[in-house]
Amino acid sequence: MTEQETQNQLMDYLYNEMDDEQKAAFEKHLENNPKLRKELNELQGIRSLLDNVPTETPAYNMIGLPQEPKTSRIYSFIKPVLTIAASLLIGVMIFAFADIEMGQTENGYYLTFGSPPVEESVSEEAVIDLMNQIRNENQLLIAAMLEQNRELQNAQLEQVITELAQYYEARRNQDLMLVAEGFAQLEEETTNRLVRTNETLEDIFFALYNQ
Amino acid sequence: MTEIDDTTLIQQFKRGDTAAFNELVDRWQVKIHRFAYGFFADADEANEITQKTFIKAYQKMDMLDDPENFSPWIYRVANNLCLDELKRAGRRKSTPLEAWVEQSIEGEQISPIDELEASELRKIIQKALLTLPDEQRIVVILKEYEGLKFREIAEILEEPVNTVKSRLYYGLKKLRRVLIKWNIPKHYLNYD
Repeated sequence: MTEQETQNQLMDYLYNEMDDEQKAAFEKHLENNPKLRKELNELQGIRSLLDNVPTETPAYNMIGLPQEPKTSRIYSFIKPVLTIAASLLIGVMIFAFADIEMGQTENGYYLTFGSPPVEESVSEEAVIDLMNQIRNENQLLIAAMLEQNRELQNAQLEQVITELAQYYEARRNQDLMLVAEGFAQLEEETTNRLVRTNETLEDIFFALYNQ
Repeated sequence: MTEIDDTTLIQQFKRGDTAAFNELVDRWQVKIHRFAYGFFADADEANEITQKTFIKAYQKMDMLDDPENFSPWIYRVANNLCLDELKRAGRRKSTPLEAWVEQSIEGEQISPIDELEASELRKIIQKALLTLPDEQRIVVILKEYEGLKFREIAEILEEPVNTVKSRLYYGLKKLRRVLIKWNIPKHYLNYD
């Protein structure tokens, strides 16, 4: 048996992890090996000392998750019943408040919502008066609209005329400026031409006089 | 009334029953807290690791395919968180045994008196545990405090069973040597 195997068996024996057969064989080996017995005694002594090491324990729950409130079994049983009852109650309330009616005719089933409108009788004169009143109101309304439309058109026309007049005025001023500028240029050219003519005539007279 | 098993509680929680998760926390928080306390010897650290473990369990429960494996799974989560915390804090891993030869606990020399107060002895053992390498300390805690089988510890740590036994063997031997160096009376250390 190697030293390593002996150590392993010593550990198994020390912590009682041997079956009966292995245990008997190892104890026999111990009887013939005082050195091994001494070692076993020392290890057992350390083990008994380690039992004295304090074992700190937390005094409170280290981690706690919020729990959902527990429901009783009775509540779990009646919960679906209560749900169905509440649904039925809501349905009845809706039918009651919305005047929903269900029924059967010869043609089949029908479902109606709300109450039918109340029928009231109206005289012919009242209808004619009502129609006349509506017609008068319409005429007044149309007249007012036409008047408003006409005023709007007049305002637009006035604005267009004003803008056109301003345009022609500006155009006339521009033309006058162009004409004045043309006259000034013509006058200058004429003057220059006269000066040159005079100079030419003076040259001719001077030549003739010298001959 | 028959108590609902963990598997059923997990299935209920996966269906949205938060009360089932609270029941799981109630059942497991002492074990996880004890495991974390054994790891750090500090109540505040143990509280924090315990809370983180259950928060992670809440978030990752969908990834637990087989609810039967909840026990090794939750210990694995706690163990990983403990190791992460050690890395995050940049702590020195356990002190080599040689460094403790001339050291005493918090500078106080323990005289070889005949009887130690129980509370004092507990403190000494807890501090001796902190001298173990992490991988040995985890195995000692899971075996001694949680009473798990070697096979279960191997499953949690995802290591071969023989590796777990070997770590425990050397962990216990080292504990004994540390306690002898600290002048713990021999009769505390011998079984007979």
